[in-house]
Amino acid sequence: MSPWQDALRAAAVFAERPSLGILVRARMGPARSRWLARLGEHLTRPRRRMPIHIADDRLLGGIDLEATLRAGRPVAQRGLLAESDGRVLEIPMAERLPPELVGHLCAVLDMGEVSTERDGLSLRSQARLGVVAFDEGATVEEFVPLSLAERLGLQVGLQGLGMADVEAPLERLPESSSLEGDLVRMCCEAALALGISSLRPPSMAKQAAELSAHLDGREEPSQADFAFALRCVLVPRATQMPQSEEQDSEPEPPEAGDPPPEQDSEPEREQPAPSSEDAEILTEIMQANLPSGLLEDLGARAGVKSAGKTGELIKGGARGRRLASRPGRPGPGSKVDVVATLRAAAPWQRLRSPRGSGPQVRLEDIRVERRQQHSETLTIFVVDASGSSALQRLAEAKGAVERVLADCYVRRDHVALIAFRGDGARLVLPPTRSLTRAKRELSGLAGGGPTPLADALRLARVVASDARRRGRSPLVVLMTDAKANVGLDGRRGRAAAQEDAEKQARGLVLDDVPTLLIETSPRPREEARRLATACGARWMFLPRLDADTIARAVGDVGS
Amino acid sequence: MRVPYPFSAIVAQAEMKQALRMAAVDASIGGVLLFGDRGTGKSTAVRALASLLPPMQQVKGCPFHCAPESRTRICPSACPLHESEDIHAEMVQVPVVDLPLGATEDRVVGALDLERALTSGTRAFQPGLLAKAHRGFLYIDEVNLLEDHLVDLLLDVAASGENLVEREGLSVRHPAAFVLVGSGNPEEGELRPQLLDRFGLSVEVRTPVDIDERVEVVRRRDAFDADTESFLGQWADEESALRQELATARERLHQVETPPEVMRCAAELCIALGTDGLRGELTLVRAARALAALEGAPSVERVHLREVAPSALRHRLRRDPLDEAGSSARVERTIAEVLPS
Repeated sequence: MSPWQDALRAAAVFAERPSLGILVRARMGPARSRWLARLGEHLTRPRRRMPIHIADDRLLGGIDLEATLRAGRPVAQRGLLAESDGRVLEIPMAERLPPELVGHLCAVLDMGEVSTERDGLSLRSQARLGVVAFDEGATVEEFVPLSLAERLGLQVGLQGLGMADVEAPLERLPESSSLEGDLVRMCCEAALALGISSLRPPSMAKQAAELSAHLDGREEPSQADFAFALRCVLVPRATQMPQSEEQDSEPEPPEAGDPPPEQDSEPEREQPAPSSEDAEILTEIMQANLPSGLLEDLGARAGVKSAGKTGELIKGGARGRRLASRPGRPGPGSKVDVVATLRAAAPWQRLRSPRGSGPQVRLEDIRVERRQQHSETLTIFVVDASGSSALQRLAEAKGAVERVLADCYVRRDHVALIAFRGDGARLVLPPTRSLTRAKRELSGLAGGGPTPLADALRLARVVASDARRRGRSPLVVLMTDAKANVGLDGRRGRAAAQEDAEKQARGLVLDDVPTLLIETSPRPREEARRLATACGARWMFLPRLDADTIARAVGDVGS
Repeated sequence: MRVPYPFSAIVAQAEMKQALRMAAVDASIGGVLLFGDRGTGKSTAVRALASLLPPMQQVKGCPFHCAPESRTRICPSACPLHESEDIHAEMVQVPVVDLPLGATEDRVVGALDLERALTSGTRAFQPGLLAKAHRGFLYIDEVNLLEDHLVDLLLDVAASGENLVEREGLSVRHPAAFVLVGSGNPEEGELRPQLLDRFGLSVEVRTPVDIDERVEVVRRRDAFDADTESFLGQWADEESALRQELATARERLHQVETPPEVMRCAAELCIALGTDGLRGELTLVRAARALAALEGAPSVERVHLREVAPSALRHRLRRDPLDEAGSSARVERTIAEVLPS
């Protein structure tokens, strides 16, 4: 199935049951306008748009400033969520949604009602929404908050579609044999195979398959309906490749820098005589419907999952995203939020000045602004330059560091590089933002010798805690095959070296330093996984280091 | 308002269900924290609990849910208790109050009732969510996303059992004893240790990995969404049995004996684990007693301690990053050492 056909089908399915929700990866453009127009044809009621910078009181409801001033007593107004009850809410730029807003949306999607306790008002109203969210993220660094994405059942992409593609109307799915097995079970098994632990997606997939069948006038979902649900509900949430017994063609990480992962362009071919075993049918459908770019996507997504370890947040201050204003006194470092202050004073006006001698604002009304900003990040590369990591690997690592450095330069972040080989680790590149200096130091980097992994991790800890003291958020990117053979005391020996390394790795957890471990051995090794667990690291297996994938992963962990 | 999913129809998640039942039997255990993955039914379980709680008596019309027998309790002047000697009691549902994200302070603690101030010129207190939750449950979904200043406020009230309001020229105090129930996803942010410690029990909720269990979860949810009424009908018997079980356990609670030997075991366990203060010990014993009451046992046994210890203690350990196994495993290991079966 072509991505466009999937997107159209998803639109029709969504219109049938808006509570499923839909996430569309597409930037502004003709494809998106066409798609929205098509969606509009299916919907019976007009859509509402939600600007992402909507204030809490407009979203949830609150005090109506004008009416309150006029009436001299608190007058409530409903928010956008309550007004959108029974409608479709369109959210552009969903990847930019602030976390508080996401929290509200999720609560409303779960409960089907919005409850507000603010400004002396207690409101509760129905809000059964169908959400269409657009993910306009240009890179993997920008993504729709996971808690919201979790609740949006259908997920389709419109990237890389040409004008010719988007003219086509919705077609019926090709005839295919009916689904022998039990739909719910197949959805659950497919979800599990793709590493989806939440139990919402299988239920959503089941509904999508049923609605898709309904759309074409089928009584029961066919294999093609199930395949549609797989592509549009489950695959976009995958965290792992399904384990199949024999995969003849080792899925290689495809060329990086090719942003739109081409959806599998071949419709599932009639495979020879499927046996009645559910499992086999399932495996077949899965094989035929996994997009070719999935493995690469997974690598990039690996970093995205942990949202906790973002740059240290500094509250207050004059820069950064605005938070809700709080009662307080204006002073150095805090600024009065005039509108919020007026809003706080509004209900009291009749009481304070019965003659109407102009508004009175008192000290307790003062609201001060609060802002949230991210501190600078220091990315510490710890690169294995020992003999066990081939020389060519070192060259690749250099390429990756340069690439990340270029990104950091744009983001005004710092980079440091630790190389380890022979009997110790060395801080090759102290924290810097200078591209030229980094390049010079890197070019002189030699390789070969044993692997003093423990010493490298010790040094990484030192550099990280130093960065903390300077108010930077450290991030360690460890590139190694994890074959440690030199202990902390410089003595050779695998077992002791491994133990020392893991002990040091736990130190990174102790210091709460986010870590990304990129395993560079040709096959995944147990030691690397253990090391990753020890330092609480995101683990990424990349037999072939390529600069862009690494740069993206680093961006995800660090942003 | 959506009808809540029946509690008894929740598949697996034995520890979560048990923790909620214990908290419902004995409010003094101090609430439950449910931490875990998305889509595991944490909120579903809490909202389902509400309909299982036996109704309670309160002074008729009292906005603070004052119990008729508690004449000595402090209660602000708005309460009818202060106005007449002749008190009528009424039966009401135990309140389960949601603290929505983005709630403002004035609505949480209460504030001057502007309507009354403006119309009749009286300075009256408009109770907030804390008053609403008195003698009931206060539920905070996404508790780890709660704003810091609200967390501070809750900590104070949860510890003292009363809410002190000093604002807008008001000076009010009223009882606010509630069971705190929180849920959240640790990936979205950690919880401050002070708040963590407030929760009596904590449960790590995981999605079931067994395919049959997962299929059953999806199937039941689907049946519930497709035809809510007949689904509720199917589970009505189970629900009323559970309701009965909770009511009986509540009555039995104070007859359950706690032998000194059990107290000693609890203390030993806490010492071995190095938990701070007496809170852990107290919660452990209370939870074990609630479990004994639920099971209809005449006295608390070591088995009860063993069973509740992980939920009662795992969030009270000092974090030790050099121990790779995590707190749950440490508690289990220590239980095996201190309380061999």
